Amino acid sequence: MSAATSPEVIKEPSMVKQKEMIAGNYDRLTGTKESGEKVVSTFVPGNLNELIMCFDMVNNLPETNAIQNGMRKVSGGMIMDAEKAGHSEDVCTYVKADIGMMGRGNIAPNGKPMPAPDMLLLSYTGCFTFMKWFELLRHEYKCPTVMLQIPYQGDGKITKNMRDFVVKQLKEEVIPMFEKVSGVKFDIDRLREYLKNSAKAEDNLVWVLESAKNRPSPIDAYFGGVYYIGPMFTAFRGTTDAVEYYDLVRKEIEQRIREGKGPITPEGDMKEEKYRLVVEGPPNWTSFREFWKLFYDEGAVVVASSYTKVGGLYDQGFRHDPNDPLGTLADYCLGCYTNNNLPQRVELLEKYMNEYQADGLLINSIKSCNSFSAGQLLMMREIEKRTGKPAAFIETDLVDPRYFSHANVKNRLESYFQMVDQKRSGASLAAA
Amino acid sequence: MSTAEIIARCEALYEDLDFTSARKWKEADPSRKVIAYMPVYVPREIIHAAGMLPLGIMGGGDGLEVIHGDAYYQSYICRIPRSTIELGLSKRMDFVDGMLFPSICDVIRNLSGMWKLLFPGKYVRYFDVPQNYRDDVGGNYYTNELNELREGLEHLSGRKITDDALRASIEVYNENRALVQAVYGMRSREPWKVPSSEVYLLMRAGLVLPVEEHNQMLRDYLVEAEKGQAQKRDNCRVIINGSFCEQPPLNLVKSIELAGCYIVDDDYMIVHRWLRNPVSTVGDPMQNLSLAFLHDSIATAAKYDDKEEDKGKYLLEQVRSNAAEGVIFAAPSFCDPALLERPMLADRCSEHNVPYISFKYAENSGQMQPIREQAGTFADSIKLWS
Repeated sequence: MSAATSPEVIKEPSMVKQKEMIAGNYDRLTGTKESGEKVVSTFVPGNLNELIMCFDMVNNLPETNAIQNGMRKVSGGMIMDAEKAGHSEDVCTYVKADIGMMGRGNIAPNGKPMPAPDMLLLSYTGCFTFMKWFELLRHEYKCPTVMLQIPYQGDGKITKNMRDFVVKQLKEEVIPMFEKVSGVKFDIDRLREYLKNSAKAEDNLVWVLESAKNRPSPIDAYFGGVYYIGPMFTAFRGTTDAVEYYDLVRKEIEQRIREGKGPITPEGDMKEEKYRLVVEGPPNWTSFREFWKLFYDEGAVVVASSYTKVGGLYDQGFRHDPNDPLGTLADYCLGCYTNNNLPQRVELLEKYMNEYQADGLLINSIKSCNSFSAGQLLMMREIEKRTGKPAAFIETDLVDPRYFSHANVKNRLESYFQMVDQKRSGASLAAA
Repeated sequence: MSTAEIIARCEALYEDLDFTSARKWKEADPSRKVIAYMPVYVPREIIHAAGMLPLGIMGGGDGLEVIHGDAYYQSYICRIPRSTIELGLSKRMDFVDGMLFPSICDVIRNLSGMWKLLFPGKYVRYFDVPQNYRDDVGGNYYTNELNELREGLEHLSGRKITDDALRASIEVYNENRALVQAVYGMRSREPWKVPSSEVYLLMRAGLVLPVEEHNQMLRDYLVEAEKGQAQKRDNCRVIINGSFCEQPPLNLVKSIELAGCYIVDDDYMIVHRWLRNPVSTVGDPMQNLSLAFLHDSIATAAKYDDKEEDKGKYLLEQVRSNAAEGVIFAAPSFCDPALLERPMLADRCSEHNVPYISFKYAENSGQMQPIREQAGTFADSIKLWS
């Protein structure tokens, strides 16, 4: 499907608001030369937006820039630029898209150049590549860089030692660096206020994600989920805008439930819910709409996904706590999905399969994301064993269009849906 | 024992994927336990002080047919986890009581969780290390992690690991580090006497033998190698970088030498040389191990350089101190740490006019002709134009 012939996405008011928020943020980011605001680049998982706001700094997330470039179909050229410059074809394509983007002037979606960061906040959470990525950026920008190391939950738990380590880094490394670069003194009460906003928004986000337990599900928790989690993932957690956004989206979903509607898709409301799936792994961004269409054309809705939890496992009870501002930031970072060990990830997926009454698990394995991908074949077997439901495996990439094969993905999905049907008819026969 | 005999023994140990030597060590006393570990670094002193045998696992190399392991990994993931799974599922590691997975990359990290799922009941620990090098920040965290490891091993063995036992183990590993450095030093001075393939096998032996036995082997080798009469060749002196996790096949090491390169330093099996100087045996042993890690460990892609100016410093120091004429970036395919690090190190090399080439391999790479041609051309270009 070419972009020129794509049907227009039907926008809900919340979508319009989110679009305005993102556009506003890019305008703010590209306008720092005039405004004098300082820019900090950081990552999505374990991002410390509330803390960044305490220093009046603007947050720039290279991952979301890569996603934007992927969706606008310009990431492929950027990746090849980076490869020509010596970056291996084997490594993360977010990194290469980011480096390639730099070579092309770092142009934001609003057409204006993004400023060089004044500071890099290396929130090293759940992904080894993050560490090297920001070393590479520091190599280019030569700007102050601070590392926040988040220990991995190897034994499936957060120990006191891990938490104390993160809090100590926040106090003695991260905050002093922010103060130095921004010239703004840290005010813990200001942080508390932002954290209160975060918790309010998180309540509504969880409500929205859990609305997928309804039949039909009023949301798609993977493709559509990208919209719902957007503000929480990007530069808005802790803002009143995010609180208003999630309030708005909750009302819209409440209305959809009352009307018995399924999720909204780029081609309007999904008519019949035939398959309920849990999806593990990030989506492909370069062919996002074509990818989604392969699902809704078949009546498949994603009722829960792990990707929407890389920015926090709010649905498992975590809320930012204004009463323990630094401790809560530590808990948040330590608890992100990709910082959970494999047995925890399997348990979560199993829980989703049961709680959301899913027909099966689909794994979208991403070529350039070992944090997600290494071990997924075992996860698939474990889920099949534990739930008796069919699982399937497809392979794409984040932002490298060379690794999205529409025909292959379509074939696999069609076979998978047939498998789900067979399982169902087998179960019906057994019941009879 | 001649060098040939020592190396023959090392080669037999290297090829033995049933780990017979470690099995025999364990069978000699029913209370003995074996703790396996993966690259790149674990404090073996703690395992040793527990009376256990640290067993280094470097995957299956080119001698293992991977049948089950491939079913657990996509084609775009490196080879070492799949051959390690194969070693586990084929019961070649059934005598191993515990397994440590150091913090090196997401693949090895996730393998720790896979091991928990595949081998329930075994002691499995993801061994995290600090990327913050302040004593009171990363140091405190790491000392506590070391103590958690100590407690885990105590629980497994049912006996306390005393500070005295730890200090004694540090002592014996200090000796090992000194001997390893002596072998590396001799190779750097007289590489024609100490072929890299031999150094490689000597270090591999150190992964499976009790450290005391390895120490004796290194002592014997140093004495015998000194007597060597090999002729010096007009080879160029190179550093190998990027091979710290999945290991190249031995033939690759030999091919580089055959192509006209003396390997004068490398990062194969860096567990032996991770700590650059003797660790203090006075005072709190855990704190001493922690401080050595923070301030006296080598640089590698698995670690964070907290200052931009430190990037490549260690590599350039290797080049200078070994009078190397070039760097070969040899990384396993799909190795995130090595391949992400490479452009930064390559820039440093360029800034300092150090010639370099790069290629990728897998532990089961079979075709050495392209490697020989590339390394040979590199050596020629250095000799002719550098």
